[in-house]
Amino acid sequence: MAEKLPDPLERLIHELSRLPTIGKKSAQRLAFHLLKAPDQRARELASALVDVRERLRFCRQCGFIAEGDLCSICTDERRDSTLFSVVEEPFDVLALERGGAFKGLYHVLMGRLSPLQGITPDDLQIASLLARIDASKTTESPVREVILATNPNVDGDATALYLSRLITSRGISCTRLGLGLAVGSSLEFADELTLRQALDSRRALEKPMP
Amino acid sequence: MLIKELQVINFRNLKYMKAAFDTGIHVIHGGNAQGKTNLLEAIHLLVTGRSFRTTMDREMVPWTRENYEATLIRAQVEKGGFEERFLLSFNSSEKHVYVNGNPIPRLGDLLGRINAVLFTPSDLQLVRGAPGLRRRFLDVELSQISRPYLHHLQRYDLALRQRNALLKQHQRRPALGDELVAWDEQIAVHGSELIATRAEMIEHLSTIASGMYGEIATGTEKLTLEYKPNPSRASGDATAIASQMRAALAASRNDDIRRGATSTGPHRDDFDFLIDGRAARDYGSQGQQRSCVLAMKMAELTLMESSTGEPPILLLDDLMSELDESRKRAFLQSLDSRIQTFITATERDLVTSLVSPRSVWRMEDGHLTEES
Ligand SMILES: Nc1ncnc2c1ncn2[C@@H]1O[C@H](COP(=O)(O)OP(=O)(O)OP(=O)(O)O)[C@@H](O)[C@H]1O
Ligand SMILES: [Mg+2]
Ligand SMILES: [Zn+2]
Repeated sequence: MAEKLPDPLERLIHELSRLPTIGKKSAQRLAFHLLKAPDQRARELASALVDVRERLRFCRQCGFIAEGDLCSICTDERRDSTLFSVVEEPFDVLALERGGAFKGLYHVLMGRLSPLQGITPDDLQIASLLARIDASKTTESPVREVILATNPNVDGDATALYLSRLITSRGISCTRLGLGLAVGSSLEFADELTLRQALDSRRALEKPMP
Repeated sequence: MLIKELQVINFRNLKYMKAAFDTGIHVIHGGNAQGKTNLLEAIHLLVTGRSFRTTMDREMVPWTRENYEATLIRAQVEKGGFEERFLLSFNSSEKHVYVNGNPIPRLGDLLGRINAVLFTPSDLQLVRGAPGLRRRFLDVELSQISRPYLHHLQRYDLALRQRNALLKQHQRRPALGDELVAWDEQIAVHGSELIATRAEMIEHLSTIASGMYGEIATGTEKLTLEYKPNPSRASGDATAIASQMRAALAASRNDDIRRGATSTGPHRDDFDFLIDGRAARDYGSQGQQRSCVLAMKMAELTLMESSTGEPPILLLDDLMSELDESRKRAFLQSLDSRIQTFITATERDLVTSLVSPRSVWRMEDGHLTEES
């Protein structure tokens, strides 16, 4: 029979193994590591965990990480509130912000449609997105375009398609983030698939004269 | 494509073997149950990452396991003028693949790195067996020669599982319409690419296989392959097929909801072998059916060469016990000496009396020795 571990250790292993991508074995390894590490290491980790929960939350409006009720993007007066970008996770906002080119506001879905994982539209921040769009209609800056920036895979594509029908039926233009060549890559070395997607998502450089 | 050096350790009854090979025909002979097929199986594992005989890796682990740690298959491969190193290792609990020392995280990404055509006695099932076997054949071949095909195949498969999961939720959540459309679109977009590619592949295969069959059968009978897509009237380019699929999916929606499964799409495709217009499955003799498969495999080899620019490796298991004398002779003599070919046979003479091989090996109780 294996020796039973002391309770506090069992509890730590149990809690760690509930985290995504961490299995029973990794949880054990982490728990023993923390037990062996200097006292201060564990305390810092604990206080960081508590801090994150106490000081941060998700923006009431867009779902991005916020210190207060609203995030720093939603409260920024210079942002274009007629343009929305819809993303799957708060992380994706950071990625788009790093680009610096997007000047509108965000809406985080907190996931993507996936019947296999039991994720339905009700589990995502879709009702709140539609409510935001509808509410803006009576203001002086109604939403005019929604960019669907979900991931370019099956689930992300299906989610985008589902949303686009809801959004365009409200008379608002809806676009999908273009796919294609990475900046700095050369056509010569692009693989067949990337080239085809780049071709499919091509756009006119200038509109022809009417 | 050339396997220059091969090493197999602890694979089924093969304890240890290491050998170097050149182009041309290599004969591996030995009595029944000595390990000849095991050797071809080991080579083929490097092509797809999966066994052509079993879905369970632990069946390939040797029964006697004193000092056993892992099974290793290692090859030095010449491809497009470059040398690449392949290593596949597994035991009952883990499996790893390395190419040039770098781990390949997904088995699917191994496909297409070593190109090979395999012929085994069980391939007769390609003519006789269930449609799923023929689809699997198409998928393995097409994934080897076309990255976009593999891409669409993986996505189609996921979209299909998602749609089916959604259909099954219908009883609990009746208002699925808009959600279904989102998955229908994924099925149409990726499925149409699969159908268009398969149609093109089968048309090419049919033309080439027809010529090959003429050589092997030496008669006047004519072999053709006929694609039977689903939806059944799918035709045109991928864009056209996608809109046909959208319509078919919409038409079968209520049925699908009732059954909890998707009834339209390339996961229900099939193709037929026709000899003089009649289905070989129903009317062909055993020898005719074997010749059909062999002709198609040789057509596959030609197609692979033209799309990758290099002839693949050819693995022929027990070919000699399959065909009559004249078909055997015609086939062996049609083999191209640039192609690296591994042939197993119970008697050395079965092969060497018909063609001159590059090397001859004897397999005995899992030990491989070269003969002069
Ligand atoms: N996991 C395993 N461990 C050890 N031996 C195994 C294992 N799996 C199969 N074998 C043995 O390998 C032998 C079969 O080898 P193989 O199928 O390669 O025979 P073969 O030489 O192709 O014979 P044939 O001419 O009958 O086709 C059998 O004796 C079988 O018992
Ligand atoms: Mg055999
Ligand atoms: Zn916000």
